[in-house]
Amino acid sequence: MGSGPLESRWETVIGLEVHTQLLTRAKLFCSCPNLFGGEPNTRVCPVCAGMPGALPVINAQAVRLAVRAGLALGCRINRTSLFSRKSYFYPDLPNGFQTSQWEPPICEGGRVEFISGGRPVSVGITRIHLENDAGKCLHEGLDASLVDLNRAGTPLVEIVSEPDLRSPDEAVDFMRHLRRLLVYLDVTDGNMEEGSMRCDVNISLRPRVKEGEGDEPYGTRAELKNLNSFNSILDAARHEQERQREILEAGGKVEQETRHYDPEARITRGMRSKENAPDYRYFPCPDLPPVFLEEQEVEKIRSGLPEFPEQRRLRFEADFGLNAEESGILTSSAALADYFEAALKAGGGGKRTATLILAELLPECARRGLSWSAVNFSPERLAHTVRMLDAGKVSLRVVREIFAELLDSDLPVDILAEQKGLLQLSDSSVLEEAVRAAVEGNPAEAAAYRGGKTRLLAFFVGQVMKATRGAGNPGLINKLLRQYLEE
Amino acid sequence: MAISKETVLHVSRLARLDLAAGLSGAEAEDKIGSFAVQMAQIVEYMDILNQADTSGVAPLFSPVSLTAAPRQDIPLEAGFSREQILANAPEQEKGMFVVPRVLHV
Amino acid sequence: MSDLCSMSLSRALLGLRRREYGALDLTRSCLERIRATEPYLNACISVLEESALERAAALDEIGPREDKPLWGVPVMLKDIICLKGHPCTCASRFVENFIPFYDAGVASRLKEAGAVIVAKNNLDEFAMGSGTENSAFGPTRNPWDLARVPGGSSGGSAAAVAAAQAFGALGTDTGGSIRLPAGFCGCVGLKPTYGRVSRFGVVAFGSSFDQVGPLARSVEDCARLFEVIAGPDPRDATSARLDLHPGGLPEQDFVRAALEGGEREPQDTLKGLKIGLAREFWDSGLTPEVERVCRGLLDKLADAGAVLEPVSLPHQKYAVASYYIMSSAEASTNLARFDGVRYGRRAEQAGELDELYVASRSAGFGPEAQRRIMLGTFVLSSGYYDAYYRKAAQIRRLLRGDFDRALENCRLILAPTCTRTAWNFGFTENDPLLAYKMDLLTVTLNLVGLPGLALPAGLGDESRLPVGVQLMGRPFDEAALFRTAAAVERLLPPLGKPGGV
Repeated sequence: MGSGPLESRWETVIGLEVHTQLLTRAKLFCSCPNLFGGEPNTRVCPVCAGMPGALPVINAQAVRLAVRAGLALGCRINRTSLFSRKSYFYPDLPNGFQTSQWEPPICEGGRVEFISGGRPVSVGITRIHLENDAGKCLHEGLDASLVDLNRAGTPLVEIVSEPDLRSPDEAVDFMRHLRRLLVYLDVTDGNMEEGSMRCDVNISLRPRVKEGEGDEPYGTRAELKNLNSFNSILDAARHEQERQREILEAGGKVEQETRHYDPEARITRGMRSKENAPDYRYFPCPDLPPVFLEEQEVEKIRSGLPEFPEQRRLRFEADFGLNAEESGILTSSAALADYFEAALKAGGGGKRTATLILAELLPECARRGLSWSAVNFSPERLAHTVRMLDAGKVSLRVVREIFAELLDSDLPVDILAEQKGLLQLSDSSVLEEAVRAAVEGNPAEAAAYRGGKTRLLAFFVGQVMKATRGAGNPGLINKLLRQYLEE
Repeated sequence: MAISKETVLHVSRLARLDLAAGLSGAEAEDKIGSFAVQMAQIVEYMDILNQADTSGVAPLFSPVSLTAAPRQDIPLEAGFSREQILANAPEQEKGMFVVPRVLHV
Repeated sequence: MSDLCSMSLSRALLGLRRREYGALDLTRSCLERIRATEPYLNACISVLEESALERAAALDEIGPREDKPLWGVPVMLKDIICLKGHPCTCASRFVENFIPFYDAGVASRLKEAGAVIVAKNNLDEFAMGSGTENSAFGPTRNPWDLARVPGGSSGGSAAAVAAAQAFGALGTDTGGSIRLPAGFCGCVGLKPTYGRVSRFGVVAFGSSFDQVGPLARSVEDCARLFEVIAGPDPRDATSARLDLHPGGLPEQDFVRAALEGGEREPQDTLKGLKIGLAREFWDSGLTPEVERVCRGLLDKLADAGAVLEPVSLPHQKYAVASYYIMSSAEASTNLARFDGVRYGRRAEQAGELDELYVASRSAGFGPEAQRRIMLGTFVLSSGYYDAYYRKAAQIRRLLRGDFDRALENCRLILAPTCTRTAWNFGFTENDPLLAYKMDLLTVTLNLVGLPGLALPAGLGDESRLPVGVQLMGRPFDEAALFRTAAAVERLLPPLGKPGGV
């Protein structure tokens, strides 16, 4: 990606504007359901269709979620914020204006820290504001577009970062970090394919200076609009970085403009220059009184924030001996981490509980195309399964074998295993007989073991397991085999 | 302040209006010109506001007070039918509103 | 039977309850009156004959109900208030065929109260005007003199009520649009405190100014209509929660207030009542006959024991400019939804999207609506916002301060509704600024959001046309306006019936 010359002469400066749909049940200004898709124009009312006389009323939960996002990103929460009308004509914008926040927005002045390329990165958050999403235009033939307003009025927060990012990779990692955090906090479903999160990338280049020499002023930036996947952010930013570098190195000037990324051609194209920049004519929306937040309301939201995923992840690693990947999956959503901890509370041991979730529950759910929360496996049943494993009543092997059935049944794991004749054998007398048969039946291997090839123990364990159809308690078998062979 | 024909044209573009719709050439020029004169008179009258000392005065955008409670986050499932939403549409197809093809989506 | 429609609303209610006549009798009487007078007045854009007769018959079937305060009473709506299943034209070509599938908050309340809606009234297009001359469906004429305007923008409603086409009507007041036509047509009209009445389903002009209010032939009638439409609506975020009102819930029993004022001797209500007179209103170039009629009323008030106090509204001279800047700015965005995509007029053969917008809007909006959109777009456009919009909003704060101070000492402020009586058609043609200045005495209340009740003070001795005065009050103190207005009504001889029809 031409990073060689870039490294030496130019520094890339990037700021992001991230649009995030909020996970409310109803839309921002009306009571239509906030759901993705659906038959066109079936989740629409006079308010979100911009019918004459219809008026907006703010959804309290959207305000709470915006505050939640602001607190999570270290922002100051403005006790009074104001909605403004942002005027432009477009068929997916029913009122001829977007109802957004200009001055003051609901949150300002935050900071987030994350790891990118092994190094800590700190990014300032300029502001977060609430606004409504537009509908959708679909192309129909060569000369017509069709307008579906189901999405119109979906609540969004726009998170605007400072130009603190220094490479396309950092930009993507920032976006990943934001997504993870906001999904974890149930602020958004984070579904980028459905457009729940998308961003505009502001990017410019400036001459790199030696450390300690102070910064050059920012170069002229281009704004890349509406990128809706990590790949497109990375690709678009890299291509734009390269395009600007070529212009600058040829002695040219970058124009301030809005550009559109074409993922197929993998290039960015100019949409409009600064001279044609729209005049949005912002002014306070007279239909919506200012949003007032009582201090105690903000405090209530603050105290309702869960432990942040990074903290929780580190705690899981330290307390349960999990590796970074395991703890990362368990803290990918607050709900999953809560589920894990509920199972611990119900009496399951940490490591085993984690293993069952990661190695059994999640893969099985993935096979079924279901969310883990949609299957019949309460934290209590999970904890019971772990206790049965710990007590040697069932073997891990059996649990694996019957896991799918376990999800389809209401029975506890031991009863189910018993019904299938798979209850773990911990009866020494039965196992002793199997151990004896295994050793007597393989005299050559027994002699070799006794001659010092102790690794053959595994062979004998396998033989005993086979004889007990996998139901033998492996710990006990080990012990009995060693006793018998070494006697 | 004076309002030029250019300002009038710029503002009318923002507002998606053609003040000289149906007119052409000199007639259109005249129409825009006389509109500019009329608008200048009005705006000149507005300039009376410059006489008022408003330093340090917080703007009052609306006399609204005792503001209403926000909406609870409860979706209304049985809302309006698509037939109702589309009933006044000048043109519709496949349950959607039809417009000339738009670019940059 | 045909004279039933000339009764007061309050008398009609009494007769309905005593079963002297039914809802259908009243409705037929009004429809007959409409048929007889519409060729002269043009006060209605659509007459809902069929649905009104059906509704009246259904009401008669059930019989009068005590809990329905307007049971069986024919009323009208300004055609900017949505009524489900009937066109809401806003007197504009743009939406002449638009049929809302929802009721405005006030329409629901009227229906709930048992009223029969018989027609939708003419107005200035999107309520922008002071004479009801800017209607795509032709002007409404003043029933006192058919050569003159009825005032605007609720001119259709005022003319209809004055001509007894109905017992009352709802209009909207953004800068005087109820009070001005009430004054010109000799009706009683109320612009409520901002937030008192739901704006849901009322096509917006200046959202921070608009209020729906009643027009009727007496103070008591007006109070009866207002009592039905006042109150919060969860669908309007600017509708007031009166439980938060400082000093406790304001008086809500408007009918009782009006009855008190009307039944007692005027002195009992007026004695010691402090009424403010602002020089800025009275020295504003009133025509001599308006001045004479209004001063005559002041004498009567003083005789009845009212205390007339001079008050000062130093920022009143900026009111018209501030009002037109802010209301036009709001209107320019409120009218952006009229784009020819989801409803309303759509230009034929528009090849591109922008052509569709421009052609549809240019053909659909009349000249005054276009002028306001232009003015509003201009004052919000880049580089002008601070000088115009923000500055006007600062004046608005100062004006509110003026009123709060003046109303600390006085319970009410009294002023004429207009510097003159109804003008001849064409008087303001080609001079929009002159037209805007006709709102000099009314726009201030909309800027500050306070209530104002207009009522006739008499006939001008030259024009023989009604002269209106307005009582302006404290926030949510409409009850005081009704009580006082009812007393004033008793002090004055009846106006008589309009001579034009």
